[in-house]
Order: sequence, then structure tokens, then C-alpha cells
Amino acid sequence: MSVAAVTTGLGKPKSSEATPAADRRRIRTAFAFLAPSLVGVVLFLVIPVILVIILSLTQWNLLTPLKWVGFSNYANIFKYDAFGHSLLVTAYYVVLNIPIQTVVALGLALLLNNKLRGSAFVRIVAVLPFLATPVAMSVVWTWFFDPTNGIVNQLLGHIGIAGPAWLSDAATAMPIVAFANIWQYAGYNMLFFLAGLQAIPPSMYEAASLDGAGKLSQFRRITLPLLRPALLFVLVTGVIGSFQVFDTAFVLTNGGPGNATTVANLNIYNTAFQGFRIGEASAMSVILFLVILVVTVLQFTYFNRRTTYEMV
Amino acid sequence: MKGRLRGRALARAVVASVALVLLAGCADWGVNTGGSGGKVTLTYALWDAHEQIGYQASIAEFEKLHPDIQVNIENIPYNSYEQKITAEYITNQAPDLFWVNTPWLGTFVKDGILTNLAPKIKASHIDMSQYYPQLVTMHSRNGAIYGLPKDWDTIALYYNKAYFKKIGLTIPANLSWNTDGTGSFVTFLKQATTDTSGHNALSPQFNPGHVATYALGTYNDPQSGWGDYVAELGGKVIPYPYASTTSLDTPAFKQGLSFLTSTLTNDHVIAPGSETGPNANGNNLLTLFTEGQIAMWQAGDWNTTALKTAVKFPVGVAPLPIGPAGRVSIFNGLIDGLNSKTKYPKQAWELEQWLGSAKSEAILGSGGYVWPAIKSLDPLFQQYWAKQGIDMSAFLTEARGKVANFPVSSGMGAALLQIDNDLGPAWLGSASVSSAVNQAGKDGNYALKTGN
Repeated sequence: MSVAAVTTGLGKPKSSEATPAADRRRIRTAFAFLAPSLVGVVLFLVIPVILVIILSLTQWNLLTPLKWVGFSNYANIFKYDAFGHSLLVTAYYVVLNIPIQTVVALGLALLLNNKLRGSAFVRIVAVLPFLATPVAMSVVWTWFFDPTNGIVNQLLGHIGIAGPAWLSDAATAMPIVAFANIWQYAGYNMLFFLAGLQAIPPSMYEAASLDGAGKLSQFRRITLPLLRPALLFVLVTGVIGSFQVFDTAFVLTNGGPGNATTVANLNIYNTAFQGFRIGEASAMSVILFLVILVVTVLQFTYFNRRTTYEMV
Repeated sequence: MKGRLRGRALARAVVASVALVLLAGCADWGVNTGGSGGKVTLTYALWDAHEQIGYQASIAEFEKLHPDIQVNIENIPYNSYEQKITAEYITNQAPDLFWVNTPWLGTFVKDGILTNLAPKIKASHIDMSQYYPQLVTMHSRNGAIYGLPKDWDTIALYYNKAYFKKIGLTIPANLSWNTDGTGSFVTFLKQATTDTSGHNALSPQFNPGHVATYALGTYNDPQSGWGDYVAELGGKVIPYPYASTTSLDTPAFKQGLSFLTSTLTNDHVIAPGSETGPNANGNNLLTLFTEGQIAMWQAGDWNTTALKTAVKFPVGVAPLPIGPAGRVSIFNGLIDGLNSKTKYPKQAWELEQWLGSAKSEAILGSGGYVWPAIKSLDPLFQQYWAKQGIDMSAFLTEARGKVANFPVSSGMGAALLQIDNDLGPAWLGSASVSSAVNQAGKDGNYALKTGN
């Protein structure tokens, strides 16, 4: 897993016998292989990130010349664009989304790790939502959760419950957005847990049960610790992805009711491409980038202290 | 040998990666040749797939008259239209001629995307008095004109004839309303709202918890929703065209909104905001109308085709009720914007002239696509729909009466989006009208200020 490789570092290669010329050749070859992704990273990541930081200090509507405004965008986005509210809304979404999604994915993986008949079929079914297009699915969810003619409220109606206007109610709108994403990605994340589970040698469980460890303590003392690399990957990519949520909120609620689901990325989009305030949108992007960076670093620090990557 | 192989591998990898990057990153290098032999290809952008059929027919005539011009139609989805045109303009890929809806007009004018056609209009001796004067005003600024009017829209009440027949009610011609909730309109709406036991909202047995059919469906919208009621009190979104502040902080605005979100909502005679769509944005109204859950749908004439294909009952059209300042519909119309950076200004102007001409507007009007902006051609559209069984004269009555132009200013698209977003909670009952309007005014002002 690439994340693991990056975090642990590969250690210094033993190159005592190699001559400097051989070293240079090796480095040249390495760069030849890296070139495609390096060019990609520079063109589509490094340069855009630098441009966004520069743009965040300017006023620009895409057409007029750039006007240098210093850090005023960073003040304006909180004063006029309710970006603070958007960050809170996004954090709320992450808190709703990540724990449930992770637990569902882990639960599915544990169930499907048993060699039962039909588990291959269920595995495919669990991954299917990931193959669906989030925007198309969001349109389907709007039909499901339509207050009058949606299937959810129709079914609730049959048992005498008047369902809420799911997507127009500030209390239910964000949980529905989170639900749509959990449905979409839980099966995908399950794959990583499943791979992690299958890498655990059965002999460890055998030894543990010989020592009298029950199923629960086996799970706590063997499964969970050995799943940490998978957990780290799922959590880091999941949290980053959740902070960047856009499509489902855009289609399901377009930020409503009021600004109850105006997540950071939706605010950035509206500011940049409805208001054409590129400078402010860039400032928002920089802040969001920093927030995600801090959260990711925290996750890595937490896991680094506790993670085992290899079976001994 | 090995070294050479490596060198070659390196070269290949570099070439391959550069090629990959070029392929991935660059969609179109702008190979937009007009073709050889003097034939010019124009791109014409619009968003409505149904009207596109009518425009295709008109453009076929145009191409017969101008064998040296070919026109390709580009359909851009409405929700990203303003962004797409702007982005294409920046990269010199914008269509030569394109539909312009009024929320974007001021921004396009300010950004210099549109060509001032006044000199061309003068040189070509186009009679501007054939058009509705309000449409000419809407698309003019300081002597400049940004397009020939092609069509117009007003807002009226589509109604379910079968339902009104069933409950034995006819719609009186001149219903009126007042801010205090008095007037024949509210009484009529109560008569037309029925619960699941068949009691109407005037009856003491009426159960507001089990409404089967609301009399009216309207929504959080500056044109088809609150805009008309605010206009019927003399209120406006901005005090004058191209203003850089809103005029939401006026009694007329708050009272007009409150009439819908409080008076009619509390009387249970309009579909609750939460049922019309997220943020009460009206997404569900066509479905609610076709399902018989609202008896009347307040909407613009451009919905007639979609409505006609969706409903299983006969449909009529009633005019808006009369407010304290009269019966006032929001009035809007489209022009074709002429890209100020087009390579073919002459040919694009030919197409602009054709689409604004009586010949083309007659094709669109008689096909039932749009109300022609040339006043004398209006009967063509009316006749088409009369044959389809829908009497559209209410829309025309309003256009010939008092109308309020759709607001024009730079940044208006963003401002209206923000205003609707902020007014949503008032429709959903989670914020008071005055706090929602204050927030909308603040955000609308910022959008206009930064857009100007």
C-alpha cells in the first residue's frame, strides 16, 4: 500500500558496492520511470496550488486584470460569504459520515471474510454502489426523499407516519446527504478492510484460541491492531474526500434549506462560478486545504505511534 | 549497449509522458476554421431542447437565404450557461451568437462580452418600434442596444379544468388581494382547497392536516413566485436598472413575500414551501400539478409544452390576481448576444437580424415555441395553443397591461441565487420574513457590489 510505504520510509538502500557512475545510471532510470507522474504532479498539482495561493491575494473575475488586494479576501470570506458557517457545516458532514461509513465498511468486511456460500455474490453487491455515478444517484435519492410522492414517505404513510420533508428540513437534509455518501462508499472501503483481514495469518487466531482468547478479545487484540494500516488508509482518504464533498450536496439540496448544507466546496463553487469572485474562492480553497492538511497530519501522528505494517 | 538502451528508454518515457500530458490536459486547441471556399460556420448557443427544434427550422430557412453561412447549434445546460459562456469567451471559444437570459445580461455587458448593436441597427434600418418597448428598454443601456428582442414571457396561473369542474367552481376574472389577507383572491383560494374528506378551507370541518388539493402552487422565485406579488405592491429587487444595491429593505418587498409565506401558507391554501422542493425552489410543482395536488400552478408560459405532455386533464390559464398596485406580471424576454470577439461579426449580425425578424419570429410563434417579441405576431402563438386546447390569452392580457421588467444589473445572477437561498427559510417556516429578507438584502448587496 502506497500510503504505508510513504509513511514508514523505505530506508537507505545498501549501495556500498555501487560506483558513483552506476548510481547515476540508476537515478536516471528511476527518473525516467517517474517522469510521467512527475510531469503530471507538477502541471496539475504544484502549479495550480501555487496559482490558487497567488489568486487568493487578488481580486479577479476571470475577465478584468488581476488586482492585488493582500489578505482582505481572507477577511471578506468570513464576513460576507459565511465561509465559517460552511466549514462548520462541512465538519458536521464529516462527523456524520466517517464513523458510520467506517463501521459499516468494517462490519461488512468481517461478515464477508467468512468463507460462506454466496459471500462472493454479496461482495459484488456491496461494491456496486461505488460503481454508480454519484450525481445520477443523487437524482434518484431526490425521488426517494420527495416529501409528497417519494417512496420513503409513501411507505411511512402506510404505517401511519407522516414523514418529514427530508431535503427541505434543516434537521434531516444533511443526514440524507451523508446517507447518500455512506451508501455510495461503504462497499468500496470494505474492500480495503477485506484485503487487510485476509492478510492476517490464520495461525495467529489458532494460537490465540489455544491460549483461551475468546472471539471478542481476538478481535480487539489481533484483528484491530493488524488492520491499522487499512484503517489509516480508509480514514485518511475518507476524511479528505468528505471535506471535499460537493456533488451530492449540489444535486440533492444545492446547499439548502437556507445554508444548512452549503458545504465548503459548494460555497467555493458558488463564489467562483456564480459570483465570479475568483480571489475569494481561492482564499476559501487555501483555508480548506489547510484544514484538511491539519486533520490529515493529526491522523498520521495518531496512527504512526500505533501502527504495525508487517507481520513478524 | 545497455547505456544506449537506457538512453532510448529515457527518451521514450519523456516523449510518452509529454504526449500523455498534452492528451490529458488539452481538450481543444481551437481549430475553428470557417471552412474553405468562403463558407463560414457560425456557432449558435441556446439551452432549451424543445425550442431548439423551432430554432433549427428557422435556421434552415436562414441557411437557404445565406448559402455561404452554416450554423451549428450548441446546447448548453441552463444551470451552467452563464459560466460556460464566460469561460468560452475567455478562451476565445464562445459561440458567435448566443441566447442571453436577463439575470446574466448586466454581467455580460459589464464584462464586454456583448457587442453594442445600436450602430448596426441604425445602419440596417431596423424598426425597433415593432417590438414590445419594454423589451427594447430592458436590453439597452446609455444608448447601446445588446440584442434584438425575440420573445417574451409573463407569469399566469395554469389551472386543472377537471378539478374545478368536479368541485363546481369557476375562476372569476378579476380576483384581488390585499396585504391584510382580505380580498376575493384569498376567499377563492379557500374555496378551491379541499381536504381528503372533500371539505374546502372555508368549511369548519376542513382538516388542514389532510389537504388533498391545495388551491395554488407557487414558489421561492423572483420571476414566477414572490416577484409578481412584490411587483403588485410596487416593490422591486433593485430600485433602477444597473443599480449596485438591492431594494429588498422596503415594506413592499416584505409584504409581498409575507403574503405568500405567511398569509397564504397559514391559511393552508398554497402548497407548503417544503413540498415544492429544497429551499422551496419549485422543482416539484409540475409533478404536484399533474398529480392533482395543486389546482393552480403559477408559472411562466415557457412551461406549456412540458405541461401539455405531462397532464391527463384539460388545462386552462387564469391571469394573476390584482394587487394593491394593480395586476403586474414580471416581464422577461430573450435576445441573442453577439460575441464581441467573434471572427465573423458580419455573418453573426446577419443571423441576429434574421432571428429578430418577423419571418423567423413567425416560425417560432406559429410553432408554439415562444410568444414573438414583435407585437403584431402574438396571435400566431395564441392560435397554435388554441388548437392544442389551451387558451393562452391570460399571458397576453398581462403583457399588454402593466408589467415589471426583470431586474438587470451586473452580478444579478449571483445576487438572485443568494437572495433565493436566504429567503428559503422564510418559505420553510424556519425563519421570519424580516430576518430572511434582511439576510437576503445583505448578501444581495454584496453580490451586486462585487459584481459591479
